[in-house]
Amino acid sequence: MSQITLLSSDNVEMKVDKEVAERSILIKNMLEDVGETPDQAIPIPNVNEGVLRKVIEWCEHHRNDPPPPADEDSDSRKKSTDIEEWDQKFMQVDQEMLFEIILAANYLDIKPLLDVGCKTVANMIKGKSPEEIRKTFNIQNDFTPEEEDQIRRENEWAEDR
Amino acid sequence: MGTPIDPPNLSPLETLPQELLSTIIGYLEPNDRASFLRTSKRLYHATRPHLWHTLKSTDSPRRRRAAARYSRGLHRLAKIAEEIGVEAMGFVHVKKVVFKEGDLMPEKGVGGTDPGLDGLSKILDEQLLAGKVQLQQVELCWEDIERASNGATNFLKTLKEYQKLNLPQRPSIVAKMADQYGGLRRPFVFPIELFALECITDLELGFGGEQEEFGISMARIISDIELFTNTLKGTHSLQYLSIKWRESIGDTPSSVIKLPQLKGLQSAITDLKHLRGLSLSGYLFHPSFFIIPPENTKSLTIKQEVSIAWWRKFAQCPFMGLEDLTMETRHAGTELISEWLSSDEEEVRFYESAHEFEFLLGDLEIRGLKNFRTYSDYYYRPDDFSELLRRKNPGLQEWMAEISNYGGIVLVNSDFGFEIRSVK
Repeated sequence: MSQITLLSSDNVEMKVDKEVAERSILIKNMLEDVGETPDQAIPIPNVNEGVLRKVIEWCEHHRNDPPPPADEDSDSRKKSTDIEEWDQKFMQVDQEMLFEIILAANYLDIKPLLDVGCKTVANMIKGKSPEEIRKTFNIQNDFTPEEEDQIRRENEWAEDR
Repeated sequence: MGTPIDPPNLSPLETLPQELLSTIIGYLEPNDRASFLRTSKRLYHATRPHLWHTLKSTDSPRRRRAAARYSRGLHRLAKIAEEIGVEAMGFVHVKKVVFKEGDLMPEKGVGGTDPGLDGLSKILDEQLLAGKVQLQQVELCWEDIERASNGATNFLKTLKEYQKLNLPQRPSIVAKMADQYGGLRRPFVFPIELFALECITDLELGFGGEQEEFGISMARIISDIELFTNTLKGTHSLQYLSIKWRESIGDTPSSVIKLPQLKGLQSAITDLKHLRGLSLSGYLFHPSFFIIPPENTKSLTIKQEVSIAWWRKFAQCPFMGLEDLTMETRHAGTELISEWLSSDEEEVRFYESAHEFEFLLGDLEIRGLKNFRTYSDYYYRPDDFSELLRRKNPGLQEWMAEISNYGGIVLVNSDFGFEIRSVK
């Protein structure tokens, strides 16, 4: 099995199976453009060691995932926020890491990982009041009282009654 | 990153680029979106255009209370929008409207009208024709239309008018068939006149009912073929097409295969220049009728009952541009020697020697295939089919999908590495 080396933004080298690294469409396309397996490390300038290790861990676990079935209704897949058990555990990290993983998955173009990350955030929002959401994500309320009042009126319909 | 300099007190969530926030918001229901946009200015502006991006027939002002069947929830939403204004409600941002199966029909006992759809139709119709709402997609179950409520019929009429306007982007229509109708199932005919055909991008075309008890008349077969042909002649933007005919063909007259109308249907299909996915299921008029997909169709699904003659045509088709093939073919005519079979010597030979007859294709023209899927190992194929497929398509990935007990699909890599994963 051929291996390649990735170089994190803080200059740490990591060896990975080519097949694993190719879960990243960015890396896959890069390797296809180069043609042969490169001898030098591939720099991943936007991702630090800790995050890159985490991303590789995900790619290792999902290395044999099949492509999505051809005739599956892509829309119904999109709506569901179900996350498989292993991924749920994988995503039990502090918020800083969670957002770093999402940004890295976006940059490296690993769509299934990006989806898992975004679903995790969505699940943290679901069923909560605005104040509860602010607390969860440490968001500061920067509305003036007048603005807040107007937005509340416009969205009153969504409150549980 | 390309965003303007963030004020220092934004949370990590708020500093995500808009495209990622949009993805997250996409996983939320309208109620949760409404709570989310009330948290801060940044998230208000990120969420506002998405609040009603997709308006569904099941939407309701209440959080996931017992599913709002028959659009009671929509009725309440429409009333609220009337009170506080369509603008304030955010309905001007609606891009997509989804009517779930059964939801175009009036509530039981209301007879013809549906308060939810009537209210919604009043609001949306006005906004649409004034050009205030820029609709991108409408998804509906066309089998509902025969019994659609007044509100739904009005909306469809408006939609057709709207599509005639000179718009920069015309909304696409996704027209599906019903998955389940229980005892209500009966033959529905695709209502060709209700749609701007050129706007349909995804279409399930078929005959929604059970077959007549004593076979099918030739006149009925011809009228079905002609309806399909006339529909497909107008659907120039079609990207995904699924054709389902009957689950069992009964005693198909053998002369069906000689009908000139079948050629017309094939040429209407060949002319679908934008088609990317084609799915064929059931008996399609005659077990020897082989449909050639248009060039550059990327994915093809075949769940048909087919004949030896069909396989010979399959073997000779190069399938230009095809990447994904899914097959679940069965051999047609397993019980009595059917009428269609009696004129085909080879079929009779195949049939009479039952399991011992070895049927070989000899060669296969298909090239460049990347993925091959099947639903079980028991589907019928010629004895040399798998071998030929692998030889002619190096690097082919093979998958076997089984419907699991939990409703998901389990894909098994066919080299039997026992790598079983559930795909939800």
